[in-house]
This record gives sequence, C-alpha cells and structure tokens, in this order.
Amino acid sequence: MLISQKLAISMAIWTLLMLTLIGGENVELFVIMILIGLLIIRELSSIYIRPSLAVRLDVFVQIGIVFFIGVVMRRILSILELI
Amino acid sequence: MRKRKFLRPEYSSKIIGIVFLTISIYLFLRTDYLNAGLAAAFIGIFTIFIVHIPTVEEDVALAGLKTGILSYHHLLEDLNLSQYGVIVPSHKNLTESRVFVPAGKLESIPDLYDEMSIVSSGKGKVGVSIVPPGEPLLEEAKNKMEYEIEGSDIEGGRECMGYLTQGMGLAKSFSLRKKGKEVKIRITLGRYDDFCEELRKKSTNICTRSGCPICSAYLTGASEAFFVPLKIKNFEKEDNHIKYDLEEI
Repeated sequence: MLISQKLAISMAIWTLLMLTLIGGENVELFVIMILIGLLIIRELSSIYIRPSLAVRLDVFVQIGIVFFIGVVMRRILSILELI
Repeated sequence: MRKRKFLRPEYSSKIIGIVFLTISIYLFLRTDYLNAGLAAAFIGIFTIFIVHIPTVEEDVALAGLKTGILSYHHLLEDLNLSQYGVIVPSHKNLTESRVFVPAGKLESIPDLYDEMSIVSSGKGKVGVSIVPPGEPLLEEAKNKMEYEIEGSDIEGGRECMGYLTQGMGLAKSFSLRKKGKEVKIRITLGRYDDFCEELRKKSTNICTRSGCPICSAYLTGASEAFFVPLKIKNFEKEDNHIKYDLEEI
C-alpha cells in the first residue's frame, strides 16, 4: 500500500472518529479537530513522504490554519463585544 | 501482474473521492447534518488530492533498474572479476561512494578517485571502481534525513534504511547489526522479490560484487553510516530473506 493511501485512510478514520465524538453540534470544534489530525499526520509521516506529497499535505494544513485564525479572531471580537 | 487501470491507486482514489463528494452534496442539500457533510467533503477532497502518483509505471521503472544492473554484470563478467566487492564511502579523494571489485585476492584498498574506474595500483590492488547501483535510491533516503549519514553510526544507518524500507517500500523489513568489525544486514523483500529472483537468474554474481540497486542502497547506506569500507564476506538468499555479512577493512 502506498504511503499516500495510508495517509488518506488514517485521515478518514480520524475524521469519522471526530464526527462520532463531536456530533452535529459544533462546526468550529469539528474543523479544528480535523486540523489537529492533519498536523499529527504531517509530523508523523514527515520522514517517510516525498517532497511533492509533503507540499500537498501542507496546502491542507495552511487552509486549516487560515480557518483557525478566523475562529480565533471571531472569538476575540465576540469577547470584546464588537460583534 | 499489471493491475487494471481503474484498480490502480491514482484512479481508485479519484472514484472513492467522487463518491464521498457526492455524499457530501446530498448531506448539505437534503439534510441538516452539516458536520457529516463537512466530513464527507473533506475525506473526498483529501483522497483525490493526496493519493497521486506523478511518476512512471512500475514495470517501466523496474525495466530501467534491470538495464543498469545488467550492464554492470556484463562489464564485470567480461573483465572476469569474480571477487567479492568492497563498498567504499566517500573519503580522501572520493566525493561519492564507490564499489571496488578486485581482480584477485584483496590485499588492501587502493587509492580511489572519482574519475577513475579501472584501478591498477599493483599486486592485489587491481580491479574496477564503480558507482554503487543503489546510489540514486540512497540519495532519496538521505535527502529525508535531518543530518548527514556519513559517520552517523548504527542509528543513522537504521534511520536511513528505515526510509528505504518504510518510506520507499523497497523491502518489508530490515535489520542492521554490528559486532566488532563484522556488520550484518538482513533484508526481507516484499513486492520486489520477483524482481530480485528474475535478476539473479540473469546475473547471479551481481549479489556478491555490488548488489542489485535495492541491496546496494542498503549496503552503501551501512558503509556511509559507519564511514568505513565494508567488504562483502558472505551472501545468502532464502525465500525472500537476504543475508549479507560484511567486514570492516
């Protein structure tokens, strides 16, 4: 089995596990947990994956980080009662 | 055996991805399960973009490997070099590792240079110095390491071989042991066992001279990690288990 296939299966299992645990309530938490899964997989697989695959994984991580920054900004604004 | 086109990972992953994306669209449009829709969309997109093989077909790549090693084999056969090879790491005048195959009984390793292939430095020092067939494979593994393999000893060697085994899938497992001046490498082949057997039928002696590209990558990795020339003392193959006994020179 290819490393990329193992990564895809691991990420699918993680996502379904988070969906089971979080349910349909908190979308922000769910997406952040997916981001955490991505970061774990990226770190653990870093020695085994080729640079081209690492770049592809990094794109997903970067999209997740942008979303995370958005969530944090939204929380800060809501604490400051600006929204 | 060649897989049907749609069973190959790059195609099957796209089919699976599209199925998940279709499920996600249904969940978004027809139900209130937002997180389930997000999960399906993520799995679909992730599968489509991650499982991707921008490379040549496996049989074409193996044919390329075979061509290279058979050329070596014919060259060494024509020169009547039947002695066991010595893997020499890059030191002194060498900027890259070499395999020295002596013509007669090895007395000591002659001075080797990058630009010199035919070595003639006196009695017991005549032979051929060739680039290890597994050097390009080893380079791939070395690029993944965070430190230089040269002189990194057994830990560095094992890390590098770990990438060759798990990262590149060249073998199922390996073991690297060192006791005094003796180094033992055990490789259990997986998908490339057929390739090994086919190659051994055409060039039996290559295993004790330089090794095929797969074994050569492991042997050169060990030589560079211990940073000493390693002479092949013994080679055995049983089923898919390969045993190399080497000796420091």
